[in-house]
Amino acid sequence: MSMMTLAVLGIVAFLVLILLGMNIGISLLLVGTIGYALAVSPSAALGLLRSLPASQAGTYALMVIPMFIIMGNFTFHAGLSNGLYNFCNKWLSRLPGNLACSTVAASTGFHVICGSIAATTATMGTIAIPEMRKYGYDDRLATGSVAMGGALGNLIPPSTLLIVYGIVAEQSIGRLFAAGIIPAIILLVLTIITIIIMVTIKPNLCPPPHKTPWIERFKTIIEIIPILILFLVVLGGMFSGLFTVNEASALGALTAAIITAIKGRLTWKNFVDIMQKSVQTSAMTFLIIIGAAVFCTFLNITGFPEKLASMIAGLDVSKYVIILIMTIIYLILGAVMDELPMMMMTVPIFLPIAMGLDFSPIWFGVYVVLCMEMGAIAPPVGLACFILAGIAKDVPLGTIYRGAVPYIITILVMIAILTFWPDLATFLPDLIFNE
Amino acid sequence: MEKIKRFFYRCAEGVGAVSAIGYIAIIVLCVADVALDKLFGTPIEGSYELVERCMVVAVFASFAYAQTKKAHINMMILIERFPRFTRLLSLGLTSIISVGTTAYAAHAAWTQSMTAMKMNQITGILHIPLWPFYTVESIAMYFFAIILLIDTIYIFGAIKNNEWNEQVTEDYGMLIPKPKDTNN
Amino acid sequence: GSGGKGTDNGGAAGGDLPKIQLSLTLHDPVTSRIAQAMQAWADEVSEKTNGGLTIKLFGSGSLAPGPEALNFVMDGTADIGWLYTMFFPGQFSLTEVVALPMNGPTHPAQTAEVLWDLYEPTPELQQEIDSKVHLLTMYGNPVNFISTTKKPINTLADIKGMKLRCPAGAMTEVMKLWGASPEVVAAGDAYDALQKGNIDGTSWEWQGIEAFKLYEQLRYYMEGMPIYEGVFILGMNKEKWESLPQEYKDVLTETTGRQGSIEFGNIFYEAAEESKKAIMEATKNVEIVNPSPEAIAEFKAIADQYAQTWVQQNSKGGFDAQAYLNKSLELTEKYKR
Ligand code: NA
Ligand code: NA
Repeated sequence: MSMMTLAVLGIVAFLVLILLGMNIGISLLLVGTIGYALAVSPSAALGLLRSLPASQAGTYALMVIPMFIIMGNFTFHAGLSNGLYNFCNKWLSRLPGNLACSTVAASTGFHVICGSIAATTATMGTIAIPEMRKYGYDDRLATGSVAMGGALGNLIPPSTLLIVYGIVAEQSIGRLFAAGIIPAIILLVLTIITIIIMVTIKPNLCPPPHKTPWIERFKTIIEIIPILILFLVVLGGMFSGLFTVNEASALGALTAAIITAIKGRLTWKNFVDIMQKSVQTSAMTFLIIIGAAVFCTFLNITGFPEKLASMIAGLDVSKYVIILIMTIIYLILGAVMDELPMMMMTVPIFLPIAMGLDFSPIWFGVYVVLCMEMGAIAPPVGLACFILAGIAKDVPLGTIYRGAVPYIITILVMIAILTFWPDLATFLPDLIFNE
Repeated sequence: MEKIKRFFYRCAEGVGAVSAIGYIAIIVLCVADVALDKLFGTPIEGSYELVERCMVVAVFASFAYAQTKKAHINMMILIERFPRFTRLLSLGLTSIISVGTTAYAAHAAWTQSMTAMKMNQITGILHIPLWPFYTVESIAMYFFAIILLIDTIYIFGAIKNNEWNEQVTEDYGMLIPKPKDTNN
Repeated sequence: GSGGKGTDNGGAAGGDLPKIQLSLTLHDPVTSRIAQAMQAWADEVSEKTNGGLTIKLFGSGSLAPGPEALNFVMDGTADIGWLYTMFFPGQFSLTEVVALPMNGPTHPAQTAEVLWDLYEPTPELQQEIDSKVHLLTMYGNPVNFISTTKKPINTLADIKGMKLRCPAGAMTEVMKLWGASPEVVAAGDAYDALQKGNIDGTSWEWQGIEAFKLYEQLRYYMEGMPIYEGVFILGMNKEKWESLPQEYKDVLTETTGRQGSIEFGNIFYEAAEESKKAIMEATKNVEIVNPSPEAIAEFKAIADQYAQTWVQQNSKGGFDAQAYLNKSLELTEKYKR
C-alpha cells in the first residue's frame, strides 16, 4: 500500500468513526496510532503514544486555554452579559433592526471577555432571544444574529481558535491577537449592514427603530465598567508588554473571579459549578489536541501534507483561485466537522501553500478563523446553531439554519476583502510589535 | 451495575477535583510569579516548569470526569437518523473501541513511566523527575477507560433495559449538546 | 515509505539490497543552513547506495517536538534524531563537559574534535551515548555569546541584575553566579520579550539571532567573550541500525563519524558567519563588545566555580571527573582555531 493511499484511508477511517458516534479525540488517537503502525511499525506507534500525549498536555503555551475558559465561566456567572446587552441596545437604538444589531455587537463584546463561542451563544441567546421575540422580531433574524455574534467573537482576543492556530503554526499569539482586531471590526460593520439590508428588503422581519434619550444611554455606561476592567487587564496588559499572554490569561481568570465576588455571585455552589464546567471544556479541548497531535504525526510520516500542498500549489492558476478552492474546502469541511479538530488537521497542510503564495502566516491565521466562523454557523454541524436550538426549544433547527445563511455570505465577503487587502490583518501587529 | 456505576462516577468526580485544583494552582503560581517579579524583581524559579507539570496532571485528570458528564464531543448527526437498535449498536461498538484505545494509551504511558524512571529523566531547572507524571497519566487514562467501559455496558444494556435506554438517550441520544455541557 | 514497512524489496540498482527510507527528525526548519547540509548528506548517502538508502528530513519538529526527539529515536518512532543535548536534562552530562561556560571550545568543528577524542578512550562517555542511540555525528552549535538591547556589558558589574534569556542547564547556573537573572523564554517569544523590555538580552549565536530577527531589537553583541557551545548528536535508533544491510552501514559510517562531524561543524561555523554578515547588511544597529582581558578573567573565575560543581556532580562510581575535565580542556587548547 502506498503512503498516499494509507493517508487517505486514515482520513476516511477517521471520518467514518466520528460519524458512527465515536469520540473525536479518541478516534484521532486510534487512527493515528494504527496508521503509524502500518506506516512504520507497531513498536514505533507505541513509542508515539508513550511520550507525545504528556508532551502535548505539558506544553507551557497551552496553559492559556484552561485559563481563558475559567475566565469565561466566571464572567458568565457574574452576569456581565446583561449590562453589555443594555449598553449596545441603548446606543444602537436608531439603527433599523436595532435589537439584532445590538445582539451582534454585544455578543462580539462578550466574546472578548469570555473567549468561548459556546458560552457567548448560550449567554446572549438566553438574554436576547426572548427580548427580540417580545418586540416581534422574526425567529430567523433573532437566532441568526445570536449565532453570528457568537461566531464573530472568534476573531477577537482572547480567542481559543487563534491560540490553537498560533500553537499549530508556531506563530506569536500576541501578533495573532492584534491581527484579528481590524478584520473583526470590519466584519461587525458588514454584519450590521447585512441586518439593515435584510430588514429594508423585508420590513416585516422586525418593528421600526425608536429613539432613546441620551440620559438613558449614559446610564448604561456604569454597567459595562467590569467588562472594561477585564479588557484592560487582559488586552491592555498583553499589548502594552506588561504581561505575557500566559500571565495575562492567569490574571484574567483571577480578575474575573474577583469581579464575580464583588458582584456577590461567588458562592461555593457557583464556584464549584464554574470549575466543573471549566474542567469539562478543557478536557474536551485537550483530548482533541492530543488526538490531533498523534494523527498529524501519522499524516506527516506518510508525506501526505507535502504532496497535497505541492499538488495545489502546482495548479497553474492565480493565487486568488487557490484561496477560493481552500475556502470551498473549508465550507464543505465546516459543514460536517467541529471547528477545533478541523483547524488542527488542515493548518499544517494549507499554511505552507498560503505561504508559498506570499501570504503571511499571521494573515493566514485570520483567514482560517474566518473560515472556522463560517463552519460554526453553517449547517448541519454548526456549534452555534446547536446551542441556540437548545435554548430556543420551540424554534426548529431548520429555521435557525436559514437565519444563518445571510451571515455565511457576509463572512465570504469578508474573506474576499481580506484576500485582496491582506494588510487589514497584518497592519496592526506590525504597528504594535515592530518599531 | 447501578452501584458500580455510581461508585466509579463518584470517583471520577474526585479525580475531576484534582484537575480543578491543578488549574487553580496554575493561576496562583502565575499570579504570584508576576507579583514577585514586578514588585521585588524576584520571579519564582522554574515557574514555567511547575506550570507544565500542573498541566500534565490537570489535563489527564479531567478526561474521565468529562466523560461522566458527556462533555467530550461525539457527533450524532448521522446515527440519530438510525433506528434505535442500530444507533445503540453503532454507539456501543465505537465506545468499546474507545475503551481499547484509551487502555492502550494508558499502557503506553506506563511503559514510558518505567523508562523515565530508569533513565532518570528530569526537568531542566528544578530537576523534577518525570516518571511520576507519566504514572499519573497512565492511571488517569486507565480510569478513563473504566468509565468508558461502564458507559459501553449501559449502551449495550439499553437495547433490552428500558431504564438504561432512557439514561443513554439522555446522555447521547439528543441531537443538541446541552449548553451547560458545551463551552466551546 | 518511512521506516520498517519501507523495506520492501524494491532492489537497489545492480544489487538485491532492499530499498530503505529512514526518517530524520530535527527541530530547525528544513530551510535552515544546517538542515540543507543534512539534506546534502542524505543525498550523498542515497547516491552512494544507488538510491537504495534514502533519508527523509522532517523539519520544525513536525515529527518529534525537540524535547521528545530522544524518546522518539529510542522507541524507533523516528529512525534518526538531531539531538540537542540540552533538551534532555541529565541525559548527556559527560558529553556536556565541552559546554561548560568559558571552559570549552568556541568553534563547532573544534567541539567535534574534542568530543571524538574524549569518546574513544572514555568508556563512561561511550556508555552515556551508546546506551541510547547509535552515534553518527557529534559537534557543537556556533558559539553563544551575550547580546543586549540597551546597555553593553563590559565588566562583571554591568551584568548584575540584567534579565537575560538563556536555556536551561549550566548557562543558567553561571548566569546566576554572575548576578544576572536568567529567564526562560521560548525562542519564538524572544523578539516580543526583548522589544517590551521583559528581558534585557539573550545568550545566543548569530544564526538564532538572524532566524528570529532579534537583531531588530539587539544592539550590543558581546562577541569578544564567547561563552559556550551546545552539543548536537546525530543519533540513530539502535535496532534500526542493526537491521541495516552491511553495505548501507558502511556508507553511513564513512559519511559520518569523526570526519563527518568536523565537516558539519565547519558548515555550522560558516552558517553563523553568513548570518552575521546578513545582520550587518540588514542593520547598522550593531556594536561588537570586546571586554578587557581583566574583565573576562573576572567572568571566567566565576564560571570556573561552576565547572568545579560539575566535577563534584559527575564524580561517581569511581569516575575521575576532574581528570576528564582536564583532558577536555587540554584537547580544547590543542584544537584551538
Ligand atoms: Na462546523
Ligand atoms: Na457547520
